[in-house]
Amino acid sequence: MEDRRLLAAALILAGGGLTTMVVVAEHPRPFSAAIADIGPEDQGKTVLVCGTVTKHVVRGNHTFFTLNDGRPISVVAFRQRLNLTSTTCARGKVGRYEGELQVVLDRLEGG
Amino acid sequence: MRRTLDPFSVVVFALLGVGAGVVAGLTPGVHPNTLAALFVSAGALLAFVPTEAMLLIVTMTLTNTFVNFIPSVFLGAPEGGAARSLLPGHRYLLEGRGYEAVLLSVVGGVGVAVLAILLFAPLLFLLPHLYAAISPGIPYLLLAVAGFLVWGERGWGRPWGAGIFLLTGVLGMLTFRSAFASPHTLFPLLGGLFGVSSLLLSLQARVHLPPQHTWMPPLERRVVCWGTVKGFASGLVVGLLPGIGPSEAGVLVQEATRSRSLREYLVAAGGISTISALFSLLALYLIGKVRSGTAAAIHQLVGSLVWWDVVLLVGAACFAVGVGVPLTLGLARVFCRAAARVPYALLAGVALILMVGLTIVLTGASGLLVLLTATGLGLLPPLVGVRRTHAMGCLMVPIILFSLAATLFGLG
Repeated sequence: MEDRRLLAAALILAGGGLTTMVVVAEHPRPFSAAIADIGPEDQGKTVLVCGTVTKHVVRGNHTFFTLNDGRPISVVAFRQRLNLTSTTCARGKVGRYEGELQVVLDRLEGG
Repeated sequence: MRRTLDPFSVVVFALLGVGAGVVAGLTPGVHPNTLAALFVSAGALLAFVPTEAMLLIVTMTLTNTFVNFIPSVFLGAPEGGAARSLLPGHRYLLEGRGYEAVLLSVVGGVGVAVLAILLFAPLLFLLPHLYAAISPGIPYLLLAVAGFLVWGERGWGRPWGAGIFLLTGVLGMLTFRSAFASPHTLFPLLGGLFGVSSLLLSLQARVHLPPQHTWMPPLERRVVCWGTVKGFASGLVVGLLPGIGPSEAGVLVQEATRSRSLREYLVAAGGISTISALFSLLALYLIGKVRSGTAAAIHQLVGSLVWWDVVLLVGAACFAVGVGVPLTLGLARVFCRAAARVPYALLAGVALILMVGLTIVLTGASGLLVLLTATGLGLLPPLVGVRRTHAMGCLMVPIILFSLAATLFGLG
């Protein structure tokens, strides 16, 4: 009796796992890029960018800074007050604000 | 490089990983950490397909956690008189209930997998905060765990337990920080302390296994639920605290909840193995820490994990658990029939030869010396009647000392 219940649960897990793998495989993996390589076609995609931190501003509960690896890009961290080091990597979704590309921060990673 | 994966290759690599997991799980002393490191270092092909290789390693690891229940129950059973150090699985084996022990462990593994999926979102939020809160106190927590485990012994068991903890700690320090250190150092160290010593005792005791039956009494819902929850909590401890293995975590939870149910322990133990493998992969994403050899191999293949990798890993883990269950139960039935026909001494002897041979191949003469020393120390707990968990001092003592040095003196 326990065998049959276990096997039923196993079948569901295996099927769910297989479906998940196949569905995820159909979507490209988020990528890391030089800032110069990020373009309008990358809007909505998750990207990892690294660089030197410039123009670090905290307004209310939000943090705004610029990452520069030779080219600058704005990064905005909503509802996060961040203490930043001089260099860092930011993982987030590429968006557009007032005609300029920016990264909406998901998380910081070691520089 | 942005590319999608070919679904066919995803399934092929996942199945290859399941096959490798079965081999690793059934072969005493062969651990997914070893295979993962071998795959990565052999890896011109794997470097070209890093994500597929990651899937292979994940499915191998999770399948191994299930299939490994079989040799852990059916091999290395010491003489029945060493009650306190006799693992529950071995008690069941000596009563002809080896299949039941494996099935209970499988129930625990499936239970924690389901629980982990249900609690996935809260875990993603809680684990980093929990780790940040406890990380300054890790050496003190480990000391407290060691003290708690020693205090759980009775009478002369306490000084013996403390002595074994310290002696194995010295061995661990020497092994990791001397000329004996190598990428596969853990294999002879843990193999000697927990594997070869058990096999030698079972050979010496001339263990005769009674006929194994595959019938078992109905499983109470309370046992499944509590065992799963305890396994999950213990796995959290293993995932967050370095140096704590599944057996120490299991003993901690059992002692803390004052449970004496062997069935519940087996469900929890099965759950711990599975969830600690899952957590070691999640820890790579959530807290950026490598907590196992397989996590180290994955980090080497794909670097930092992104959410896409995590979803893929969870899918692969579910697939491996789902496939691992029928494989494990089927193989357990084979072992039950073999236990009746094949002399136990032959099984144990083959396992012993395999472990010694692998030690020589992977680590050479220095590893063999470590294996012999570790075996000698590993014989102590069952002979003096204390828990084998104290032998995890081999990992805990070095970690405690290094963590204390870093915390107090800013060293390392």
